[in-house]
Amino acid sequence: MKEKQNVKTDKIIEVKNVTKIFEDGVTVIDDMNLSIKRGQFVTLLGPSGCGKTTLLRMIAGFDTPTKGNIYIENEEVTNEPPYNRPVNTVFQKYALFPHLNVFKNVAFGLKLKVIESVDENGKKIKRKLSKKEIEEKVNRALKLVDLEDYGHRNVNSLSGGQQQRIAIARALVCEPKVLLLDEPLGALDLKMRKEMQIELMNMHKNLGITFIYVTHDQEEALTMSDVIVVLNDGYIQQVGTPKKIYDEPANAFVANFIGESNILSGVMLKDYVVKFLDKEFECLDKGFLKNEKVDLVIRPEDIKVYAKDSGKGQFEGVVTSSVFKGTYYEMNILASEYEFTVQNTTERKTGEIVELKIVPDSIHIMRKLRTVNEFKGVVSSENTVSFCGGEFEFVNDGTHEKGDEVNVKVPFDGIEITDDENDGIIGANITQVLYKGTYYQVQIYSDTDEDFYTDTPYEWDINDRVGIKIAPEKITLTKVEEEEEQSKTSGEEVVNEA
Amino acid sequence: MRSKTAKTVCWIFLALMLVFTYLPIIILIIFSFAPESKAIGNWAKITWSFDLYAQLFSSEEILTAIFNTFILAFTSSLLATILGTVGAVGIQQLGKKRKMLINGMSQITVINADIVTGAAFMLFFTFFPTGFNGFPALIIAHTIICMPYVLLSVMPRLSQLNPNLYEAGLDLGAKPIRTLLTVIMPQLIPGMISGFGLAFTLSLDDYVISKFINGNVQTISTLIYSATKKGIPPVWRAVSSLMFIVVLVILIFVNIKGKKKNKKGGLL
Amino acid sequence: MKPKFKRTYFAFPYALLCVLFVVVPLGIMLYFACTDFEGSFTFDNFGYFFTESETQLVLLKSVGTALLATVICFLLAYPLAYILASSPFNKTAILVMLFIIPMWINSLLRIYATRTFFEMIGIERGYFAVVIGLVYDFLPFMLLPIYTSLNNMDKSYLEASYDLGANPIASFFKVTFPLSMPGVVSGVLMVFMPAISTIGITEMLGNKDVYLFGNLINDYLGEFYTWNIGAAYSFIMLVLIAISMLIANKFGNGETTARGGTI
Repeated sequence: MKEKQNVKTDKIIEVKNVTKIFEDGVTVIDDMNLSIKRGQFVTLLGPSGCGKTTLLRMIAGFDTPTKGNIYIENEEVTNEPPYNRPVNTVFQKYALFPHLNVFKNVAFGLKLKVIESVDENGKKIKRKLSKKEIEEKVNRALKLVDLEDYGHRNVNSLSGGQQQRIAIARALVCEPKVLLLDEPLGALDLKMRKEMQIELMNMHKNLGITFIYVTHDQEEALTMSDVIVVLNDGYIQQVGTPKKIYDEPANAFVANFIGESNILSGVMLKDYVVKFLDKEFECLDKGFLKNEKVDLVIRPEDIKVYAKDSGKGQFEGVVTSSVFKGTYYEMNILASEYEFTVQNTTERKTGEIVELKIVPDSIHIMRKLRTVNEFKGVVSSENTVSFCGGEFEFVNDGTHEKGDEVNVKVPFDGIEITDDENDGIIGANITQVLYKGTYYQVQIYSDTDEDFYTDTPYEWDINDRVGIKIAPEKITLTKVEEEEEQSKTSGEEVVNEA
Repeated sequence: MRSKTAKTVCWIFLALMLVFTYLPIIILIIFSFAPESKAIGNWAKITWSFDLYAQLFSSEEILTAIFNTFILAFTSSLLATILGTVGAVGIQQLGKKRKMLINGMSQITVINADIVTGAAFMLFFTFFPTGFNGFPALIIAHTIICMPYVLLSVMPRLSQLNPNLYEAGLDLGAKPIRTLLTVIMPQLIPGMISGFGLAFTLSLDDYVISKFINGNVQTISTLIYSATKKGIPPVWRAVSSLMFIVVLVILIFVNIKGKKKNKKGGLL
Repeated sequence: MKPKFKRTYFAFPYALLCVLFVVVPLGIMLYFACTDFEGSFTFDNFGYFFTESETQLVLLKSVGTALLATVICFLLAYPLAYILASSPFNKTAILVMLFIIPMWINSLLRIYATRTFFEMIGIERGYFAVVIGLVYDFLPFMLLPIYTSLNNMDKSYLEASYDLGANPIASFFKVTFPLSMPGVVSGVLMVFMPAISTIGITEMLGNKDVYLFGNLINDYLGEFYTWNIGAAYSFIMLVLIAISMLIANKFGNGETTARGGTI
C-alpha cells in the first residue's frame, strides 16, 4: 500500500462505499471500501452471515448494491448484468447443468462468446467462435483440470471432486479477468479438499489471473491467499497478508477468528507497558492514550511454561487439563482468574503448578472495538425512551422532553441478559461470545438489526434467544445536535480499514 | 393382513368397488354397438352393428365439437404450460408477501366453483366488449383455469434445483431469456409434462365454464350438456366410448413411458 | 443507469393475467351483484336470498346433498385406500391406478354412462340417482389424497404404537387415522366443493324435483335480465366455499389445497 501511484493502475476491482440492504431490511454490507490488485489470490474470510458471499455476488453481478459503486478495471459495472462482466464464478455446489454432458457444460460459455477478429480482407469483424476453436479450448480446459477423457460423461455420474473440477474448467474456459470462487471446496471431504487447495494455488500461479475466494475456513485462507480480507457484520475488520493477520490481528474479533488465541482485557499504562491480570508486562506497542483500555492477544504457542519454583516465569498457574494433539500438548492453565490455552511440547500433569512467561514480542495489543453501546432513540414519555423496538426507563434530569430525538449510550456492564425472552424489554439473539478472562464479552443481535455488547460473568450459547434489560441509571441520553461531531468519530472507529 | 378371511373380505370389497367404477363404462361401450335399443335392457332383441359409429363420423356437428374440444384443450394447455412455467421461475424468487399475493390470486380459480368462475368470465366478457368472443374467449378462460395447475406441478422441482443454476447461466454469458430456455426449462420438463397433462384433462373435462362463455362454439361437453334436456341421442354412446378409449390409451402410454424414463414420472 | 433485468420479472405475465382475468372478473361480478337491471346501486339482489325462504331451502338442500355424498364417499374411500396401502395390495401401483383412471375421463360423459346404466337396471331418475351419481363421479377424488397420506405414512409410528401396548384397533384410531387427517380433509374438500355447486349431475340424473343451488344460479344467469341476482347468488356460493376452506384448514394443519394439490 506504500506505492500509491502504482496501486492505481494495478487495481482490477474496486468497491467504493458499497452498502447492501436486503429486502427484509437487514444490512449485510455497510459502506464498504476495498480494492483488489491484479493477479492476487484474495480471500474473503468471515463467519456465515458476515457479508462475504454477498460481496462476491455483487462483484459477479447477481446482486446490485443498494448504495455505492463497483469497478472492474476502472470501468463501472455496478448495474451491469453478469453476462456483461469479464468475471466468472465457481459456485459452492458447482451448479453444473444436469441436462448437459461435461463437454457441453464447459462449452456453454464459449458458444455465447463474441470475439473480435480480422477477416480475409484485413477488416475488423465480430464473430462467434468456430466449432473447432470451441473444441480446442474445451479440451485444453479439461486437460487443465485433469479430466481430458471425460467430455462425453454425464455430469451426475461424476464424483464431487470431479464435478468441482468441471465447474472450474467451465469458468476458466471463458478466460475471465477475475475468477470468483464461492466456498468451492465446502462440499468436499478433508483429503480431497487439501488436494484441491494445492491445485487451485498452482492454477492461480500458472494462469496469472486474479482469484477472489470466499471461505469461512481460516486455515484454508491462511494456506492459500496472498491477501486475506476478514469480514464481520458487514464491515471489513482487517485486510492483510496471512502472516500479518495472524501475528498482528487488528482487533479481538480477528484474533479470535484466526487461529487459537488468548484474548484478555488490559490497560496501557504508558508506551511499551501494558497491565493485565493485575501485573505489568512489557510489550512492543505504543501510541495509545495513557490508561486506555485495550484488548490483547497472546497465541497459545507463544506462552512459555516452566516448572514451579524454577524462577524463570513471570507468574504462576495451575494446569486444569492437558490433551495430546499429535505434535504438542494443548493445556488449559488457570492463572489468577484467566484460563490460558497453551501449546507446548513438554507434557504437564493436570493439577501441576507451573510458572508462565510471556515475552514482549508475543503480546499483541489491539484497540477495543467499542467501549460503549450507542443507539438512536426518541424520548417517549417523561421517564421512558424508545430505541431498538423497546421502551426503556431512564432517569430524566429534566432536560429531556417527549418527542426529543436522542443518542442513547449504555456501558457494556449496563446491559443485562435474561434467560427468558419475556423477562427482557426486547428479544434478541446471542451472536458472539468472547472469553476475556474474568468475564465474557457477549454480542447480542436485536430484532431491529442492532448489536448490543455486554460484559457478563456467565457464558451464553451462540444463537440462544434471550431478553435484554437495562437499568434506568445506566442509560445516558444526549440530544442529537450536540452529539453529531462525536458520533462521526466513533463511527469510523468501527471500520478498521487497512 | 392377519387372517385369510380378512384378506378374502378385502379382495371382495376391492372387486365390488372395481365393478362399481367400471360397470357403467363397460355397459356403455357394449351398447355403443346396439343402435336400436332405445331403453337398454332388452338383450334378446338387440341387433349388433357399427351404426352408431357411422352416425358419429357422418355428423358434422359432433365431428366439429370433437375437433374444437381437442384444439381448445391443446392450445390452452400449451399456453398455460408456458405461462405457468415462466411464472413459476419468477415467482419462486419473489419475497414472501408478493409470493403469497400471486399464489393467493391463482388459487382462487382452483378453489372456486366452476359455476362462479364461469359466471365471472361471462359477465367480464360482456361488460368489456373486448372482441374476445367464442373461441378466443374460451382459450383465455381455459388457459387461466389451467395455469395454477402447471404452477403446482412445476414448483416442487423448481425449488429442488440448485439455486445457482440460473446465475451460472448468466455468469457464462447467457441473457435471462436464453438462460431460462437453455438452462432452467430443460430441468423442468417432467413437471411441465405433468402440468400439461393436468391442464389438458381439465380443459377436456370442463363444461360449466365453456357453457357460460361460448357463443356458438360447441365442444363435446357443451354439446352433450345441451342435449340433456331433450334426451340424449344414442350416437353419444359411440362418442363416449371413443373418448374413454382415447383417454385410456393416452394414460397407459404416458405411464409406461414415464416409468421407463424415471420412476417418479407419469401422471400419478 | 439502465434498469437491470431481475429473475422475478418472469412472474410478471402470470401476475398480470391473474389480476386481469381472475380478480377483475370477480370485481365485475360484485358490481353486477350490487346493481339492479338499470345499473343503479342496490343490495336487493342479496336481499332476495335472505327474504325468500324457498331459496334458502334450496341452498340448505344443496349443502345437505353435498354432505351426504361426501360422507358416503368417505365411508367407501377410506377402507379402500387403507386396503390399497396395506401390505399384500401395495406391491404394484396398478390397482390404485385402476381406481384413479376415471379422474382423467370427462366427467359429463361418465355421468352419461351412469345414466345409461341406471336406465338399464331400472333406477329411476331422481334424488337417489343424483346422490349415487355424485358418489360415482367424485369417489376417486376422495380416494387419492387419503391413499397418498396413508401410503406415505412412516410405518414406524404404527410399530411404536404396538410397542407401547396399543392393539391394532386402538392403534388405528389413535395413530393411523389422526396421521391420515390431512388426506381426509383434502379429500373431503375435493368432493364437497364441486358437489355443492354441481349442475351437470342434477340435470343428467335428476328429475324436476331435484333442484340445487347450482341449478338456481345457472337459471338466473341463463336470462340476462336476472344476471344481477345470479351474480349475487354466485357470491353467496363463493362465500360458502371460502368458509368451508377455512373450516377444512383448521382440521388439516393448513396443508390442504383443493383439487390439484395432491395429484
